Formats: sequence, structure tokens, C-alpha cells
Amino acid sequence: MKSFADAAPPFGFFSAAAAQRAPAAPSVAVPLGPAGDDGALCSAALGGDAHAWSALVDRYNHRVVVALLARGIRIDRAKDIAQEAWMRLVEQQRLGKLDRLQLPGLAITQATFLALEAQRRDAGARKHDPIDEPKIASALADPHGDAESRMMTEERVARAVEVLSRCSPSARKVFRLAYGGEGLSHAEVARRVGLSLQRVRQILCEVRAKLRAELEEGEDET
Amino acid sequence: MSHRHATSAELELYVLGGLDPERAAVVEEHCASCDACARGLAGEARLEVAFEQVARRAERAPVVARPVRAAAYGAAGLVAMAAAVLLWFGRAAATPTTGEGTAAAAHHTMQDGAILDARNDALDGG
Repeated sequence: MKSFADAAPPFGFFSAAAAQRAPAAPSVAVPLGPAGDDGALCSAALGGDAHAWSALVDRYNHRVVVALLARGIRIDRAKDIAQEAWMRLVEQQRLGKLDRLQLPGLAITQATFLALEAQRRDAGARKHDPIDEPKIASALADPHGDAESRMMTEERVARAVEVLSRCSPSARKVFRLAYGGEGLSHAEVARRVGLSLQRVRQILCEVRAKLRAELEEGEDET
Repeated sequence: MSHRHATSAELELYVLGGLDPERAAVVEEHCASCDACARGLAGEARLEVAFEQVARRAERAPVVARPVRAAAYGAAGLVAMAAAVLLWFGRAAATPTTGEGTAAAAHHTMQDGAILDARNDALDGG
């Protein structure tokens, strides 16, 4: 795969340090408010603002890498793929092909697509084979493959939801903000609930410990 | 490469983005070449992704409207039942009967049947 060093980054936003940086503390030129700044950043990025892209990469790259790790991709490879995914998004924006920017979902989808494409190449497919779009689309939509394992997962998720409902309201709120639809960074969650970053991570670790048993139970069988 | 295996706490913190950059770099370097730690990291990452499902499901779960809706349906059902009972009693009181209980009901049904037969005959031209 083409490395980031080989390809001239369109905005030079992706340094090696940025690739390793934790997602918590973006250092950006675009000012970040506690709420609603994501939309402003995405709008600025869609307008070609390099600082906005840099801030978005800082904020979401780690989640893209984690999504790839969850698919069993090695860390070094996952980081390369994540970089390329961001580069593709910037390229699409420069070509005027990007009219909306929903992150981190779009970056994760792009990275997953690249990973599947690479997997396909590695599997020895012929060079000029057309990309099997339906297969890739179904893999993107359903990483669990068959219905039985999907049902098992659904069962476990339902049990985990039950466990979550027994956690304290503040723990549930922190969990919901970090993992729910808003998908805030831990720093943003801390700002939102008025706790320290450490305390937010501590709460998340506690909730994780409670949910882990439910989600991992029977994983070997599926 | 670092030869020390990453602890489960380190892997968890890495996924959460809570490791300091130096330690994170060491963990990454180690996991790139250690199968056991790479598997552990993948497991933590899968858990992280699963939590997003849990949070989404939990956001959908509190369907507060359901008991209210059930109560509304229940009330509507009760009203319908009450109306049916009132209608039945009203009709029973208004219908002249030659007997009591099931005998009266059978007679009533037979009367209705006879009327229907007569109407059908008329329509058939018989």
C-alpha cells in the first residue's frame, strides 16, 4: 500500500505524531467549543480548510483505527489504512465529490472499504477484477456474516443493555455520550458532565468491566 | 521492539485513547509483532465496537410511550366491552321472547334465518 510518506498529503495534516496521538486533546487552529463544533469543523473541512481537516483527523483517527483493529487487522496496517482513508476523503472533497461529512462514520466506512479491498487483493484476486460491490456492501453492513451468529450477538447486546440499565444514572450518561449517537470524545464527555477526563475514563472502565462479561460470554461458540 | 507483553489494562487504555503517547507507541510496536497481544488488542477493539451497539440499543430501549399506549388501548377496550354489554342488554330487553335463556336465543336466530331465506327467495324470483 502507498504510504503516507510517499504520497504528498494534500494539506500536510497527517503527521506521524498525529497518527499516534490519542483522540482526547486536539491541538487545532479552529476553535472548539463544547457543543456543536463538530458541525462547524465539518463545514469548514468541506470548504477545504486544512486546519479543520487536521482537527477532524486528530479527533477521529483513533476511532477509525479501533474499528479496523476490531476486524482483526494488525495495528501497523490499521494505522496505514486509516491514513489512506483520510487522504481519500480529502481527495474526494477537493474534487467536489463530498457534499456531506458525517464523522467518524464516513471515515470508518472508507477505511473498511480499503481494508476489504486490500484483503481481496491479498487473497490473490486477479489485478483487473471488478470490485465485488455487493459482497463488499454486505460485509460493510453485516460484519457477523451468518444469521445465527448475528442473533447470538443480538442476544448478548440485549443482556448488556440490561446490565447497563442497572448502572448508576451518571455512569449511564457518560456511557451514552461516549458511545451513543453523539459519539463524543472523552474530553467532550468530561466537559459535558462536568467531570475530569480521568474520572470519565475511570467510569467507562467500570462500565466496561460490567458489560464485558455479558458481551464476551459464549464468544468462543459463535 | 519491546519484549514485555502489554497488560490487559494497557490494551484497554490504548483502545480508550487513555495511554500517554510514549507508552502507546511502545504498545503499538509490541502488538505489531506479538500475536497474543495483537489478539488481546483486537478483543478490546471488538468490545469497543460492541459498546456502540449497546449504547444505540439502550437509546432505543426506553420506550416510555409503550405503557401509555397499552393503557390507552386497554381503556379503549374497556369502553368497547362496556358498549357491547349495554347493547346486548338493550337488545335482549327490547326483543319479545317466547321463552327464556337459550330457547329464546334459538328462536330469535331462527326468526332471523327465516327472514333472510324469504329475502333470498324474493331475489331469486322464487
